[in-house]
Amino acid sequence: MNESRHACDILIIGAGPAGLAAACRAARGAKRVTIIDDNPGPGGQIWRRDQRKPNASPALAWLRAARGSGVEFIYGANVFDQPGTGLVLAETRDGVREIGYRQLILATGARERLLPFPGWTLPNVCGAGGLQALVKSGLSIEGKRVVVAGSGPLL
Amino acid sequence: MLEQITLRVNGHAVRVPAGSTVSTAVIISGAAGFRRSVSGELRGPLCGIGICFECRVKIDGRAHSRSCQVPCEEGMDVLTDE
Repeated sequence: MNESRHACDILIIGAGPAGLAAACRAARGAKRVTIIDDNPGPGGQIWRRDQRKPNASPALAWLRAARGSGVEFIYGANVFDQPGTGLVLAETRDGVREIGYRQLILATGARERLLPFPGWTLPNVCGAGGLQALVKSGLSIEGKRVVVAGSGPLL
Repeated sequence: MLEQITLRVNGHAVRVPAGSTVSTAVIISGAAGFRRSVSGELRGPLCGIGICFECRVKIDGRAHSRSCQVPCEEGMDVLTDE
C-alpha cells in the first residue's frame, strides 16, 4: 500500500461549516493548518452542492477565506485510525496516508439516525437526507413515485 | 446544459451529468442492487453520505469503494454484486 506522510500543526477533520470556520480561526495563529474530509469537496452535508445549480453556497465565502489563510485541503480521505498521539491514518483511493499533527479538531458533523424496520435495508430504501444527497449529485427523481415514511424536520 | 460523462456499469455504458457520484450512475444503470450482504441480500445506498457502507461497489478494480463518495470519471469501470 502506498503511504505518504503529511504534517501540520492543526488538523481539522471535516470540511463542513464548523471545520471551515475552525480552520479560518486556527490559521490566524498556527503555522500550518490542514482540513481533511472523506467527501470529494468541501461543505459537508449542509452545504452539499447541487450539481445542476451554480455554486451559490455560503461555503464559498468561507472557502475563500480559508484558502486565503493558507489552509491546506485533503479531500477523499477517510480517517480510520489514530495509532498514537499526533498521528492519524486516512484511507484514500491511492492507499493509506499518514497525517501528523500537533493539535486535532473534530468537526465531523451529524448524520441521519434511522429507526430500523423490516425492509429498511432493501435497495431503493434510503434516508431523506440520503435521497437529497443523491439528487444533488445528479440523480433525477422527476416523474418517479416516492413513498415518504415519517414526518420529521428533514421532510 | 451540463457536461456529460460516460462510464460503464456492469459493462453497460451510462451517461451522467459531470459531478455525479458513482451511486447516481449505478441507479441510472438500472442495476438491481449495489452489493450483497454476507447472507446474500441485495443492498443499496441508505445514507448517501459515506456512513453506512451499503453502496460499496468495485470501481476500476478496487473493491469495497463507497460509490456515494466517488465522483464519476470518463471511462470508469463499475461492477456491482449481481
